[in-house]
Order: sequence, then C-alpha cells, then structure tokens
Amino acid sequence: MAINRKHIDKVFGQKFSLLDQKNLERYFEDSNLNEEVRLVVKEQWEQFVPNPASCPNLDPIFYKLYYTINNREDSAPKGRSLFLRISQIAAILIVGLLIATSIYFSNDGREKVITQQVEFISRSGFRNQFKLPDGTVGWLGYNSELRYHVDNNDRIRPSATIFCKV
Amino acid sequence: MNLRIDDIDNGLIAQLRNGNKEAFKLLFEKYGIRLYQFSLKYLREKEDAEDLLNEVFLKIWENRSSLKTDTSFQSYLFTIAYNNIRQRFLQKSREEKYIQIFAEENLVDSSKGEDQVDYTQIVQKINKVIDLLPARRKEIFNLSYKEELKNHEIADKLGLSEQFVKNQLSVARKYIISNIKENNHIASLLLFYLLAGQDSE
Repeated sequence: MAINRKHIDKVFGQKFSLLDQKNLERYFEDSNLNEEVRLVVKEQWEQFVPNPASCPNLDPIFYKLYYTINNREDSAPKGRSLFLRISQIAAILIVGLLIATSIYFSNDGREKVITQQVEFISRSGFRNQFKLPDGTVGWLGYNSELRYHVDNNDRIRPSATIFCKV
Repeated sequence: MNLRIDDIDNGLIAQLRNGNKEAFKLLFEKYGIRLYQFSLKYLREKEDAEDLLNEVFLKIWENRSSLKTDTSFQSYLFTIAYNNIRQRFLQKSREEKYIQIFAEENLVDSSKGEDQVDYTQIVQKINKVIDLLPARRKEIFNLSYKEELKNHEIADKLGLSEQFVKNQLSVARKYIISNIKENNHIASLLLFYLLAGQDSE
C-alpha cells in the first residue's frame, strides 16, 4: 500500500483533520511505509525555511544541554571512554598484584612452625617398644602413655616416664 | 554555495570530534532554530520541540567521535531528528487516542467523515471542556476514555453502582457536545475544512 502525501503535507502545514492525523499515525507505525514517509519528510526538511523572528530564545535549551554534557560521566567519546575503562582495569590488576607480592614477601622471613603430636599408648599386660625419629629405641610400660611434639627442628618434648636403650 | 556550507560544517565537525565545545555551540546556533521550528510543525507543543532539540544535540555530542566530514551534516541531523519526531508523534497520538475515540463516537458526522474535523482544535476544545466537569464525573470520564475501562470496572474501582457510572458518562458526553456546539466550534471547524478543501481544489 502506498502513502498519500496529502495527509503528511496537511499535518506539516498544521491545518489537518482527524483523518490526516490517523493516516500519518498509520504510516509512522507501518515499517513497510516508513521509508516512503521519511523521503517526504526529508523533502520538507530540505525545503523548509525557518523564520528566526518567530522563534523563541533557544539559549536556555543550549545552557541546559551544556550543563548536561559537562556533568555526564560518559562525556568522553566512545574511543577515549574505552581507553579509560581499560586503564582502570589495568590499574586494578596492578594494585592487586602489588598487594599479593607484598604479602608474599612480608611472610617469607618468618619462621613457619608446624607442630604435630605423636602418641604411643601401651595397654595393660603388654610392654611396647618404640623408636623415635632420632633413632632412640625405648620401652613403654603397660598402662602407660607417651606423647611428644615434633616440629620443624625435630625437637622432642616427652611427657611420660620411659625406658630408653642408650 | 552548498559546497561552502558543507565546508563550514566540515570544519566545525572536525573541531567537534576533538571535543571542541565552541564548535558544538556554533552548530547549535546554526541549526537549532531550523530544527525547533520544523519539529514544532509535527509535534504542535513547544515543550516537545524543545525536548527534541535537546535530545538531538545531546546525541550529536555523544556520537561526536564517529561524525564524518565527508557526508552532509544536515542529512545526519535530519536522520536523528526524523526518528525522534516519529517516536514523539506516535507517543502523542497514543496519549490523545481517547479524544480521537470521543470525536469519532460523538462529533464526526458519518456522512461527511473524519476529514471534516479540525484535529488540533478538537483536541484543545475537548481538553478544555473536560477540565470543566465536576471532579467525580471527570474521574469517571477519564477512566472510561483515557484508561479504557468498562463501566463495571469503573464501578468496582470507585465503589459505585454500574448504573451510576453509566449515567455520569452520559451526562459528561452530553455536556461536552453541547458545550462545543454552544460555542459554534463544530460549525467553525467544519467551515474551516470546507474552505480549506475549496482552496486545495
């Protein structure tokens, strides 16, 4: 279906009927007719001669616009904005890396103490032989317990009476 | 001459691409009035034309880095403006749908058709007369025409009987029609179109 230019021109001329209004609404809504309407409106645009004498002062609109663009976070052009975003990500990564490195090196000089408790338990009626990490051999009497801690320096802290083979 | 205008525009756009606000201001001063007056013809309300001007130039500023100097700035400006005018026209038309329905139901002479009703005047007049209705009647009228609610839905919403809603709508309709007729608006509107039709023929 083709458009009827008369309806568009009448709306543009601001002397239009309900029928003109409804038709232009239909043209604008219909994607198949839209290109045709666009060409008519473009022709009107090209031939349009503004009347500066009847135009209100547009300075307030420009100042509003100026205020908006000055206060917009994304007022930078898209290319520059992308560069800025990449820089921000890089900065976050570098700071994270620096923090991780400083934590790693600050812990490096400290003595790491890892202790482990070893237990020997002898039940009633039996005597048990045991061997310590330094090669010492001993016997634990019945109903006795031997506990000691092994740390990185292999220090042994006995907490029971034991008989050792010397 | 066109070449010179394009050359001037290209110079301004080249500066605008570098974020020069003075160039942006010069483009606004050069095309602002034209765009405002052109869009006003389709949108009818100066507030709409001002908003459009603001939106179009804001878009130009936001897309300044992708502006091309080898194509006409006027064409680019038109493309943005056309899409904005189209959207605003449709939005406004949706908002005025109730007036269109009321006019079709009560004011359009079926023998003469919709072409006989001056749209701008009928919108202004109906809005003015609706404002003169008593508060309750106006609320019922707006719910029926603007919100497109059925009589029983309005009755439920406002806690009234359906018959009361029906009566209020009938009184409101008669009031609006008689008010327009008393002021001879229908006659003047129709006369305007008869004259306009003769002019065009």
